[in-house]
Amino acid sequence: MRKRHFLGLMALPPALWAFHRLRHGPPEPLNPLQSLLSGEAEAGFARVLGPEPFMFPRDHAAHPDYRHEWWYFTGNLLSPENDAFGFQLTFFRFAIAASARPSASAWNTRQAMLGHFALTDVNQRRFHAAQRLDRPALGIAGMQDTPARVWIRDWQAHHVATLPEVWELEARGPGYGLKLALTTTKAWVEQGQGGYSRKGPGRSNASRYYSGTRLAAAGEVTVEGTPMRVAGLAWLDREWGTSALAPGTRGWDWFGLQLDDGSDLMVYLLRQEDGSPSEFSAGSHVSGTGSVVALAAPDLAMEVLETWTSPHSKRHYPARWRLRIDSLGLDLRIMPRVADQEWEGLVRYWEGCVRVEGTRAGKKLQGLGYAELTGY
Amino acid sequence: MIPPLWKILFAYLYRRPWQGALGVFGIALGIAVVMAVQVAQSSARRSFEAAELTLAGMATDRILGVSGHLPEALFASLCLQEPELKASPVVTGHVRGGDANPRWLRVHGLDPVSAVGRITTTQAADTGLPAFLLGQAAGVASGSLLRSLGSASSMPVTIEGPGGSVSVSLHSLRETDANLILPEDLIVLDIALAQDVLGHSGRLSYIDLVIHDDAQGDALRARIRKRLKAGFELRDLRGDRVARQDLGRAFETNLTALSLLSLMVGFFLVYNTANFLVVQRSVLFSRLRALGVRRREIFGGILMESAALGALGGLMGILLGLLLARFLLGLIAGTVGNFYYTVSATEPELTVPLLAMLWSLAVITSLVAAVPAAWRAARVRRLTTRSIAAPTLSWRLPLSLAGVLALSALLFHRIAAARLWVDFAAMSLMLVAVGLLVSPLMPTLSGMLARRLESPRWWPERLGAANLSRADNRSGVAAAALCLAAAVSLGMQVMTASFRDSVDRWLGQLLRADGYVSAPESLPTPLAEASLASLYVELGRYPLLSAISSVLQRERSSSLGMLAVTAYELPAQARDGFEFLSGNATGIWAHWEGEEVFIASESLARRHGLTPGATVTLETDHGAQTFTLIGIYRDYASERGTLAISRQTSSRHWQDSGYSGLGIYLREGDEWHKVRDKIRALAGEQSGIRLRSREEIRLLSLAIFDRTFAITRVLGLLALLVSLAGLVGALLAQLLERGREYSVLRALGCSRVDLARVLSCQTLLTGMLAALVALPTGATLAWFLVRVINLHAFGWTMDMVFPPSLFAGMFVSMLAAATLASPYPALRLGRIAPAQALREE
Amino acid sequence: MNDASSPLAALPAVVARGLTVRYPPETRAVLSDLDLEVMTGRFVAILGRSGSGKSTLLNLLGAMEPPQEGSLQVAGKDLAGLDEAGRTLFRRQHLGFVFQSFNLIPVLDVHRNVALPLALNGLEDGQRVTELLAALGIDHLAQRYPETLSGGEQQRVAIARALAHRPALVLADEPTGNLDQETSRQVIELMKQVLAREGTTLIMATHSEEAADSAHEVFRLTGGRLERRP
Repeated sequence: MRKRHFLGLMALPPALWAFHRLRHGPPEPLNPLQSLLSGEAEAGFARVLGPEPFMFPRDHAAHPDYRHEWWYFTGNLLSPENDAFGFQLTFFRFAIAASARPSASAWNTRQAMLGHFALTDVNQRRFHAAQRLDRPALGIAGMQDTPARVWIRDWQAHHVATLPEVWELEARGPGYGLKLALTTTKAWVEQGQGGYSRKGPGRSNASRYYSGTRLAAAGEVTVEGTPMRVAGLAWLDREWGTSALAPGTRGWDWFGLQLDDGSDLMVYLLRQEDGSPSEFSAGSHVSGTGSVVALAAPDLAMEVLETWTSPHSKRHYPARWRLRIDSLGLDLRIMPRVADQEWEGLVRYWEGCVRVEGTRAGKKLQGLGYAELTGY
Repeated sequence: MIPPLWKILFAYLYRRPWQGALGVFGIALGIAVVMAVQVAQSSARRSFEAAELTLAGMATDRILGVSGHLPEALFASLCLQEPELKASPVVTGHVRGGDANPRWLRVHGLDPVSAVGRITTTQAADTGLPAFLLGQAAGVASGSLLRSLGSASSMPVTIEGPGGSVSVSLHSLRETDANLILPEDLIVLDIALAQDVLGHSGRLSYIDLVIHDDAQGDALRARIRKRLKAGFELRDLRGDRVARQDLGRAFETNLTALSLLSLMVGFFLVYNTANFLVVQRSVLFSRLRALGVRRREIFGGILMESAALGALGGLMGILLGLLLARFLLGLIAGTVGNFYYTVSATEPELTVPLLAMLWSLAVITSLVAAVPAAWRAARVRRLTTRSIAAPTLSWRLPLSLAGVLALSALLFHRIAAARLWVDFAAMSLMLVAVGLLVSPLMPTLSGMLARRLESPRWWPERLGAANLSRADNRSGVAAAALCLAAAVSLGMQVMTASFRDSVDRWLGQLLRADGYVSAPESLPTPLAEASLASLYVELGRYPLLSAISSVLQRERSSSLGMLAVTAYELPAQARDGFEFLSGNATGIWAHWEGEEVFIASESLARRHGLTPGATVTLETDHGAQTFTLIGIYRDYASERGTLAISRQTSSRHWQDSGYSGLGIYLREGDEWHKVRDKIRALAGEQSGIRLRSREEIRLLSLAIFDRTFAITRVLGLLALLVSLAGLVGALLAQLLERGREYSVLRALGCSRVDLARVLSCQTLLTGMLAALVALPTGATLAWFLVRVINLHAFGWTMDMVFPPSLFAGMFVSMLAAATLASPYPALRLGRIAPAQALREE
Repeated sequence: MNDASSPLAALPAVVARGLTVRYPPETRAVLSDLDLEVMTGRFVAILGRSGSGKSTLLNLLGAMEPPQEGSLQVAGKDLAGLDEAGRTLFRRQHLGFVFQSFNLIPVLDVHRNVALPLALNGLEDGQRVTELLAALGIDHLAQRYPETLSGGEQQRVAIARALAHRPALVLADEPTGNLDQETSRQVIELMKQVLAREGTTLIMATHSEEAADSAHEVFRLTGGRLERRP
């Protein structure tokens, strides 16, 4: 009889603890970016509702009335000593509020700016990534209209309106850095329908989207304090919009590939919550002479050949693809140049340089590019 | 054999539950006090920490301007020069808020994108904090502040500051995160809105930084320091936090010590109860032994039983402790809030480790307390028909033990002087030594008394005294417990009285002015100082007074860490208020104004080992400046200590035009209340400044003092009550043992009244003996507390007083307590039937 | 107080009629319609096994409990009409007890133990105590404490105590129960002698036939009644 009593008494503290836990629940903190972006209120922002002509160089600069915007620079570089690098420099702008109250303060703003800078050292199989998050005030971060310039502290992208046009990039991380001049070799490509790039069923589930699909890159890369002259090809994606993604979209896979026949291929495949592809996936093919062919979801046959599990986040990413675009006669195999190019931190995604091999209408093709995998 | 043994023991308790109840109650009370003190302390600490963490949790360093603000351009250049640096700007100030009852509110303006406190990871109004604050006329506040402003969540509230008036939508934080606490008078705004409403355009209050503790981080700190001009400093936040926590520690140690005393008394109660139960069932044990139950099993059985009682007592104690904790938290918050840091009223939080610790404490204490009784039970011989005889206690063992303990105490003290816990240990050892002495003292003294009572008229008293002289250590233990509780209580009362007396005399000396002026409490400090400054100027214009003294209190960065620095303006009359313990007054005042010198309060000097001639470097508007110590003065105002300089000296190095307080010296023949009214008129009726005469200040200070020490009184009383219960228990135990004897007396024709006289004599003697030992012990304890413990904990020297009223009062209350202990046992005694004498065992 | 030459000597010390005691819930009576008459100065033994009701009878005779049914007079006093205080007083003045387990007060020495009944009555008579001790052959033990005495010695002290205040009646409950045979005989003899000299009535309850032999009259308690032993 007493043993039972004892056991009963012994069970009391855990019971109390459990009760306490249930009442208060485990606290769930948000990460700062979630905190930054969360909130469904999207009233008051400008929306992309249909095709509109682009106005350059004005559209190189920011469009602050839309909720989000980015300047997305990626590229593959090579030094004379055959040191191969991939780089990604992204400037994100978020409008936190649709409008700001009038203020005399230099801090007043309704925008936040996030920068991501990654350098992949292909030979050493290393991935360096750095992030900055700042409020565009007091010149610490900001956007300029003329000439178009966007910067966060000591990272910047600066447009020079010469002919051909040049984007000058500068970024630094702990022990590594980059300073490049990107020169246009083709005209700016309007993605989607004249820049109206649809991502979902709603009319406003769209963004304005243009790309610089083939920019000649030249400049300097610093790794562990050692600067190296490099050259290669770069890609610029410019997008802005409000609630572009339809609800229920889990993520996407984006590819920007530059092939050795002079053509460039952009493909994005949207994924629903259940993993099935969205009908709003799309892409474009730019020929060597600059003529653009728009691609729609039925044109794209993508097959995942391999997956890779991240040792940091334990997520499974696709790691080898076969892309067939029959309408263009393309049969390509795409593989990452370094397996681990995963971004961890405020946002989690995989963004890295890739290698392409395949055929076009029977002829052998090769190329390099960048892939972005989100929502895994 | 084990289960049935437990059943037997337990069955006995089932039938007479009240007998185990005393032990349960004792443990419950002891645990309740320990728990209440621990929980209340940790809640107070936690709420302070939580407030810090909410706003600036991850910040490791802070850049401040010595003058109180920095240019925001500094922030921009810092971020651009050190792109890797994680920095967050903050703007603070005061506004008046609320439409119905406007009140002063503190504003904390931060950048939600870069802020470093936990607050950024929560939501307000179901949206992330940045989305809520950026660019909006919105703010975040605690739920209680919203309620006090009469505003439901997200209803607009008007706030008005130097920069203008804004209607702000205030919201409270999500309530599920218990670790997010905002101080009750604080609203959090976006930095832009804060600058606008405070009129702080272009200025920041400080910059929080997150710098790692590695080679790179240190290099970064060095670079930043080099870049900072004179008048700006980089402060290590974590060092500050630790220093502030240390302050409360001395206070907390006192409380913990008291709570442990309660547990000790609970220990004694269990000891009593265990013995009592063993005596009662001595026949049972002998029969069990006869049946073949081994000694080990009986030993184990008693221990198990006691552990079960302890477990039950522990649970009760925990529940009781919750109630007590709430009460204590209120008391502590008042005290702590006065002197150390502001505490928001929070719910006492229970954590599993705490509950587990308390419960184990209850069980272990009961186990240990029952060991002697269990041992005795196990030694019962088979088939004995005699009850268990009281062990004869010679003088030798306790005396030598006491001597050993006292010597160890002294040794401890010598070896590790000035370590607080060592002092407490030494004190505890001495107390235990005294307790041990009480047991054998009682038989000796009672025996002496018994022999004196020759006349047959006093035969009951003689019998009572003779009973006590039987070297029966059960009443001895109860007497010891009562004695110790009384000694500790008395010691603390005497210490408090000495302290109060010293404070009183110090105030009497210190308060030279006829009256004192201070700003209303609700006014934020900068405004308060400014309003006194304008009053000061006004007073200077009219020949109203013979002199004015002033004081300005600041926190300044120094080579010794953060210090309280006070700038005094002292006319000749005021100077007499300083009692110098080191340094010669004439010499000190000669150098006071013209040179870079300072005087230190006693606790500051003691804390940092300063002697005249020592130097301290302070951060000033123009950079670092060294000051030399020329005197040490007596001061009880704060245990942290103060560094005092003249107002002239302060003006040379800091730009500060305000005053924290003014002292008024009347002209010959003027009356205080007339002058007071004139001053009030000068200040303006709306100003709400407070004018208090010297006497009023003195009484107010003493009132605060009394409130502070209310806690110790409460705990002392509790300890006394518990030990009283122990005395009752001991008497009942004894009654049982000698029941037969009493029934024989009844058989012989002894009346109930006579029996009551026997019993009363016993209790009174016990009480008197305990009282007699308690008085000198209490005095010694007080001496120890004042001269040793408080000196080390607070750094104050105090003069001792031994008010006879306290001693007389203690003596009387102990006798009264002893008297109160008799009725119930006497009643039980009366029920003893004489016929019991005839019944065989 | 009694004196052999007193005219009261001719009166009976104890007159009991129809004493009945029942302890609920037992409906069977422990004592059932019991009669007893003992003349002053006599030594009466009551035999009976344990549980036969000896103690109960002694309780009644010793004014510890009032009789439930029947009448009881001891030393001329009607016990049934007394309240608690009255019984206490009666015991104090007129009764003496000798117990099986001696029941001396451990913290008092022999002299004081014996003097206790006198003290209870507010009297002091050191000479009386000394005389009694001498009569019982234990005057050399006057300053000793009971724990240090043998069983026989303790019982003698008890006897002295029982007589100190010159009671009318002494009740002895198994006085030899804790003693060996030899000592028992000595004690009984002493008791008989000293009481005879004092003229005190003695009623002894015992289960020992041998002890009962010394008495003037022997009764057997069976079935709640007394029967004279042949």
